[in-house]
Amino acid sequence: MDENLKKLQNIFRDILDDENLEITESFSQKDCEGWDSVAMVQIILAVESEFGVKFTTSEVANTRSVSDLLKKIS
Amino acid sequence: MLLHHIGMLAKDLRAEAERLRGVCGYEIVSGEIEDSVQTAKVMFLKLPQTDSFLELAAPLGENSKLARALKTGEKLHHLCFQTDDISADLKNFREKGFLILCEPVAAAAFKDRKIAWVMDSQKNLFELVESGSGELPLKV
Repeated sequence: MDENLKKLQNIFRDILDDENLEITESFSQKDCEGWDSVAMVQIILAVESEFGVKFTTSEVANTRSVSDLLKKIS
Repeated sequence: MLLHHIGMLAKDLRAEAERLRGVCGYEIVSGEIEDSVQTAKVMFLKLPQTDSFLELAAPLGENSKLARALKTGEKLHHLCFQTDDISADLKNFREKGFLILCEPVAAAAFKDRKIAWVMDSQKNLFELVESGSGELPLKV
């Protein structure tokens, strides 16, 4: 598994409180009921902290999937 | 910044306002104010001799942002701070680990003074409202 994807998986496991969660690049909000707007805030802030990036408000609004997050941090 | 109000969710604004008037002595200082941008309707209460308000908020329509929160049983919802410089304070919140949920937009409850929303990783939700010139108006 790609290192960035692995770090994202750890973030998702922590925030969504599911230690067995397996994510792929195509994993998106529609695949996961727990990935709501509040979880999105936690995920974005955790990604910013982990990868040293900053999302603009429009980038946050347009983030829907793990793929979107990977594009930002790559 | 000054604390302007504490936001609390309610299914029925009028019933909750009357209940809090009876229990705590709140005065009801506004009618129901609808804000389609915020997908909410709100009502303001105030305890005599205090400076800040209690805002009761209910979903406006089935797709309201508040509907899900209300379904989970959440009651206390947010703190709202009055600020002289909403852009500078938003920048400060962003630098201190908050995410901007909503850039400044006109708010029906404050006669189109601007409000913005931020949240941190601990799910603390804060609203900012610009003071503007003169006393902050409250639509009644």
